[in-house]
Amino acid sequence: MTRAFGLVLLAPLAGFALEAALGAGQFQLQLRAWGTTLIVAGGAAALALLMGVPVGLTLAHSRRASLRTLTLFPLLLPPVLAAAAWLGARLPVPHALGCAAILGAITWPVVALLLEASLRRLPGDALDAASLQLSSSRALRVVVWPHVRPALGAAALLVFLLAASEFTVPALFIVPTISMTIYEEMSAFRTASAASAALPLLALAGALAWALRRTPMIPPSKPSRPFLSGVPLATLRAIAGLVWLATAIAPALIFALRAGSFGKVLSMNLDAIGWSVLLAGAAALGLVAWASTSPRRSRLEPFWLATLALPGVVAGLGALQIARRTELLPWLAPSGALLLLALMARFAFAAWLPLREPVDRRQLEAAELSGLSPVRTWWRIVAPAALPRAAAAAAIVFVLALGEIGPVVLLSPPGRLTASQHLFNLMHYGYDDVVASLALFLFGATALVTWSGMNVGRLRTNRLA
Amino acid sequence: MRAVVFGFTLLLAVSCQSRSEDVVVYTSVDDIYAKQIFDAFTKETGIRVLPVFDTEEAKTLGLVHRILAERGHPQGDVFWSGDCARSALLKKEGALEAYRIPSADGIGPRWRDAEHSWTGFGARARVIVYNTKKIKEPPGSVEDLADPKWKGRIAVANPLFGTTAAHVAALAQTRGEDAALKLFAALRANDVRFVGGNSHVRDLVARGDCDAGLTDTDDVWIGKERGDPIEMTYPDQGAGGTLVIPNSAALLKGAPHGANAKKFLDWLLRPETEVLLSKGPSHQMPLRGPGEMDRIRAMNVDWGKLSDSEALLDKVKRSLGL
Repeated sequence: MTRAFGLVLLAPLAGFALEAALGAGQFQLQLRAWGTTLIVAGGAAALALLMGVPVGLTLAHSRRASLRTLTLFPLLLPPVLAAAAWLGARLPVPHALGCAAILGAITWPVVALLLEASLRRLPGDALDAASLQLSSSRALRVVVWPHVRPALGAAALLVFLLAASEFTVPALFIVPTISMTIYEEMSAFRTASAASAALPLLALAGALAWALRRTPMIPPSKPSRPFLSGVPLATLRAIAGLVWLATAIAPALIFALRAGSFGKVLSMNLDAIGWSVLLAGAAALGLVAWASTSPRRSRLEPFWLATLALPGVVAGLGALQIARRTELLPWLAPSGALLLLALMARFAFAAWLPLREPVDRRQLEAAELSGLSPVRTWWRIVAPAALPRAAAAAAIVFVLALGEIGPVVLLSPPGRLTASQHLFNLMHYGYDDVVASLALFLFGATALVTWSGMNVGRLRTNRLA
Repeated sequence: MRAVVFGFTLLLAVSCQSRSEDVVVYTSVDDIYAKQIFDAFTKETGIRVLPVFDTEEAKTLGLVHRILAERGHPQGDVFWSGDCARSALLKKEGALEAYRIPSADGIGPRWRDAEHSWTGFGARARVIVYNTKKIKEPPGSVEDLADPKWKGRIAVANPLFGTTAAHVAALAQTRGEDAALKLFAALRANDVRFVGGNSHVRDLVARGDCDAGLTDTDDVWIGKERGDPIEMTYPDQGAGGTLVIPNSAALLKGAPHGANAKKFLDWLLRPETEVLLSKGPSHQMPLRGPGEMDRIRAMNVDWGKLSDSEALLDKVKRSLGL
């Protein structure tokens, strides 16, 4: 069942691949675009590491849920809003490095969260042994660094992929990255050419998924073992504070100051907000329900990651084409089910990663040997371990789906507009107060959902304990 | 958990079903403009409009791809586009149904498809926007923007997308491809700032970062109404003419709510609706009756050919290094 639904989630990717194989257009290597993409996405990854590492280390030494919620805020900031703020602040018109700065400042939470997750698996006994013999800096080099290196590599690659597939910021500053090329080719209905431009992205996504398969990313829900103290920890906290201030607190304050009549804006856009929450909620719950039923890894992971790494509109187009070719379009499109499927396909990996292998394989083998049925094994062993992560995964998918625009344009059922889509259009026309109010709402929804997710998970775990 | 997921999905499905008294309108016109038109139509006829909007992020990708993919199983009834080129493209692809809209009889033949596949109405125009605090005599033609006296002081949106791409194609059609390519190469040589979109052109000019730029009338009106020190002038009134870009409306082939779609088209193309659009925030110009259009010398373009400009835009991209 889990595997079958996992295959269904590949439909958008399969639709795009099929269209590319059948479509018109020449395959050609986009060397210039890839050169620019390396600067933009590479620069974004470097900046995300610079900003995300101090925050990740600070989170690993703190148990405050509010800091984790704050860390998610920048991910929700529409990149083009940050780019518009750049223009509004009259900074010099950026080229590739400016785009890298904007994208890095939005995607650093990926690094921080993956680093923190990795630090929670830090082997305490190895750290204790090292601290008896070695100086603290050498213990960091010998024990902590080798432990977190794979997570940092994976995080950097994930940021690289997200930045490479982002379209709005390069489009605003006319920086010809590979995502711009994909859009140009699709605008000209040269699907095969668009696919050829996207192939390296898919290859990188495959490499990342392979790296993540070897890396235990998500620990049991226990606090990390503290390994820093004194001046180094205080310095890291100060840097993390600055990062939060610049990329989460300041935007929230600016939105709050610029927001017009918040209540009026919300009531006028209640339809869009309600639809967005419903859609994002269904995607989050559906994915978490699916991912939490499987205690094992899957060979399909690289493909789910590939769907995440491609520009959102590509996933939407793939879903549309596969539904058309299978004659399912009239059944799926008007209900919004096709849009829901595309959103779930796009963020499947984000739900799967935190929930895969929630318990040690030996526990499952022991349960099997003791004659426990798969259902009872899941209920007694997997579910209690997975619940806190399920809450976190649901929160992450909810946030990502709430801000998604690409598939929405292609697959929205008639009469429906999401809050993000509305926000984007308003922003284009300079309705700053309404944009600020809607952005503030998105921030508030993120805060509420992530806080609830973390605390509900924690309460349930405590009860089970 | 599964019960919650099932409930959510059911709610989703139930909340999205269209009824026989609806009309589904696919529109690339921004929701803030279109919604007031839809509300007025519903108030007058009782027919509910279910719109599907495009966004600026998807550029020309969204709705056209969707309509083409839905051929054979159409979900929409009407296509209301912010220009005529996309409607012309859909006609070529066989996605439109010919329908002579009775209320549109007063609209001239240059603004409609000869076979009644689409009909134009309420137009925008490509204009030169300028900062009134910085210049008194704005450039009078697009060629003037390449004059060295404006070096580094002019902004133009990315010529590969949107109405700027349509402008490039229209210039190539009316003056020849070489002339259009040379013009944009001259603009590049004159350090014209190519930016992400027409609203950014307006904002750069309004802030005084540029003296003038090429943009659309609706962008200028939005800036003027919020108090920006900007004005606009219609370029090329001496020769060639200004590019006027009407909205266009068309009946989609196999429309599921065909009768309502025709009612909507009849209503949308009435002179009163054009007047309503002209009073909206984008001040779109009615194509009928006395008004702004009488004072403009409009460029004469073939929208069918304009929709087939990918090869030209590839050349522009290579020539400008974009």
